[in-house]
Amino acid sequence: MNGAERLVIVRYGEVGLKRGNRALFEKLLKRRLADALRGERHGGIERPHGRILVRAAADPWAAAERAARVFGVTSTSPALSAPREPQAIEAAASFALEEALARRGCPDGSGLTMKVESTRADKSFPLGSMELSRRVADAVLSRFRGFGVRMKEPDLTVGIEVRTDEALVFAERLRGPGGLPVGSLGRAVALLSGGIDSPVAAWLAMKRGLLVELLHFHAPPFVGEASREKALDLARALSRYGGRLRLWIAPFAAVQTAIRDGAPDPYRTLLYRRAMNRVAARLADSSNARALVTGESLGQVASQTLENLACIEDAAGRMVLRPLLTYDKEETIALARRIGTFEISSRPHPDCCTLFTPARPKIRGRLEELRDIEETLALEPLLESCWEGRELAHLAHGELLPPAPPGIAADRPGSGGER
Amino acid sequence: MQSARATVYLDHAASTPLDEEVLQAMLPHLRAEHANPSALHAPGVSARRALEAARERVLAAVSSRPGQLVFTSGGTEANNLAVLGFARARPGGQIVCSAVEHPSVARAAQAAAAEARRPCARVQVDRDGRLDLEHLAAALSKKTVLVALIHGQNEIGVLEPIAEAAALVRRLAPRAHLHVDAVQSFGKVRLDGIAAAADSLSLSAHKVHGPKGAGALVFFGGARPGPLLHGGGQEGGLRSGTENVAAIAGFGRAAELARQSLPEQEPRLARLLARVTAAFAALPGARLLGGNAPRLPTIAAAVLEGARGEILQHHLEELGFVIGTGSACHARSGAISATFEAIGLSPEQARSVARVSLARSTTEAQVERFLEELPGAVQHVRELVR
Repeated sequence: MNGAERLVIVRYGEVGLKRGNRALFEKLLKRRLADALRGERHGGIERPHGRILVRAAADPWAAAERAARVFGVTSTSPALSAPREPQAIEAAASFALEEALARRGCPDGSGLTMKVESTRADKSFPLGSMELSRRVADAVLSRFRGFGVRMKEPDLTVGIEVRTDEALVFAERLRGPGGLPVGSLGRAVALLSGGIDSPVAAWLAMKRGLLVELLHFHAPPFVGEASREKALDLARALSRYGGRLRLWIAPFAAVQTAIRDGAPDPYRTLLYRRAMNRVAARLADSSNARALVTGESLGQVASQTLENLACIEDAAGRMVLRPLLTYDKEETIALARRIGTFEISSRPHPDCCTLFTPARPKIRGRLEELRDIEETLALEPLLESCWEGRELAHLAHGELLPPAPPGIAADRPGSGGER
Repeated sequence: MQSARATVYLDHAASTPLDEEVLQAMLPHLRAEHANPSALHAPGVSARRALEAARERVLAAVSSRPGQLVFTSGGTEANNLAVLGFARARPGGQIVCSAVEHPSVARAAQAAAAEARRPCARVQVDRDGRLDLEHLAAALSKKTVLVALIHGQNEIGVLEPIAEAAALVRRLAPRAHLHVDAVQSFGKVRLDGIAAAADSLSLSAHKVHGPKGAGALVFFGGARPGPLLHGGGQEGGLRSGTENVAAIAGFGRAAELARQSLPEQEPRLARLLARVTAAFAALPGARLLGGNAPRLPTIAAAVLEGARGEILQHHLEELGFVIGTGSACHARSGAISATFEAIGLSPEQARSVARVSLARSTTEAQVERFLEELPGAVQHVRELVR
């Protein structure tokens, strides 16, 4: 197929369902795709009805794989653009199949089943859909002799879309993560520890269209550089899905030692978490985020009871989303492996959540008690300096970006990720 | 928060900086001289020549005893090659190692024992980490096929009584191969006595200002280990795989520099280290590991009660000093290093070990600055942790 234009077809599901602001969703998805394809050579991104096309892709397979990581995308296909002539379409179909089979390590299709499916957006095309499919199937089967034909759930489907000025032909679909484009539903602050759960929770929030501001608490000298690096690596892993991400790192040791020294042991964990939520609330205010996202899971540890979650949430002063609330640990781990955060979370560096944990944490905290203790602790100035001491890292597509030039106030609402 | 002055690095037992001269010795092999030393053309022969020159230099730095040398990827591979390779060459019998071996010996010994269903005895040490020779004698028998002992202990710094142990091995376990892990002691103390007593020694380049990725197993006499890696038959069939020529050339130069500087450096470092051990001993609630036992001139470690090693490490880092914790403990599992267990430290004590290790590049001024800050830093961390 020398000379045929290579492109990528990007399909989306729910985005197309949102009546009213559908155009907005599609526009945002296109932007996220453009972000994800940075570094891939292509000839522009088009948004014809119900599809997104990445035109003239230099490496359509690499581009299709990258696009298949973008939230909102249900599937992608490396494709060819052929002239609207049956013979040209047959040739393109053969070529597309050849590539797909080569990738599967089965050059003649032995043991695999296939079918051909055609759609005509332009009914002026001389052949009917059924007729076109049959013709192409005949041509392809005479070339790849190992194939069986199967109409229901075949291994490969050759797709042909006849449009007014071209026919798009493809043979492979790469599954996308689904969900909604990041940012389409606004912003949230996601608390990121070094553990297994919180990055998965952030990923799920991103999947449902939230642009997350990641917040990590660092506690030098109790934990070292390796722990900070771990948080950065987790954020880098998440940024492969979310376009641009910001990771805020706030120094928490002073708050934590004040709680350790001033509060009864069993309440420590609850007080740490309430203090973290207070700092997260400040970040939410300054970045226009409507909710917090945490990795909390009901009953996962003895202290994650409804009573305790309520006590912790109280300090947030806004909605707290817990995508993992009903997940079993195994389910969370399976997802963490799939999205590539498990190995990072498994590094043996402690984070501040594992510091000074009480031997017998309170199982059912009572809000009044916690508030009374907090009054004696005078945490406010410490929370203030924790907030003031925050640092910012920018990440995009798996890379840590150089710090923003001075003079740009990075945490003003709308100045960062929402581009 | 970082001190304006350059950071003082005192974790040389973990790794040492590359010597500029070593780098210069490596560069040609990273640039133009890229040929495979197994190739028969002129560039290949030139690479081979660099390899053989490095082999002679490293051997010369060990001792004058004629031996064979296999280059490996580092100390871990050298220890594995020795333990697994020599154990496999002698089926049956029993394996003996000490309770303070590096994991690359201890775990290889367990594996060698497990694969041939033979016992592996761990010889006790005293409170200072020195081998219990009576216990060693009791563990040895005519059935013993392999004895593996560390020379300079990496976590405590003590020097093990290898010559005495070797005499016991020869008398009570005449069949046994005696391997000595000299990764920490190579280039720091003279090894002639050790080389005369042992059947094999393991070495690593990056502990002596060489690059990471090069090490060696030196062995004496006729016995050869079975190879761990099979393939093109490089290194006399004992270590297949194209040789890491640049790193090996660097290792050769590093070994040569270590040998040349040893007469001057050993007493200098011993004097500096004595100041560190004295400072440790002077701290309240401190226990100097290894006590007054003979030690490497480069490693000093102490339990500093109430000052968690990791936190002290991070705090000192803020002040501009990099030290080791010596604890290979996993924060999550709570397990402590076998060495610390062997010398009777409680888990809490093991987590409160600080390790300072020096090298040729360490200056007196650096040690002085460190010792000025140490008491205050320990005090600060104790208050933080309480």
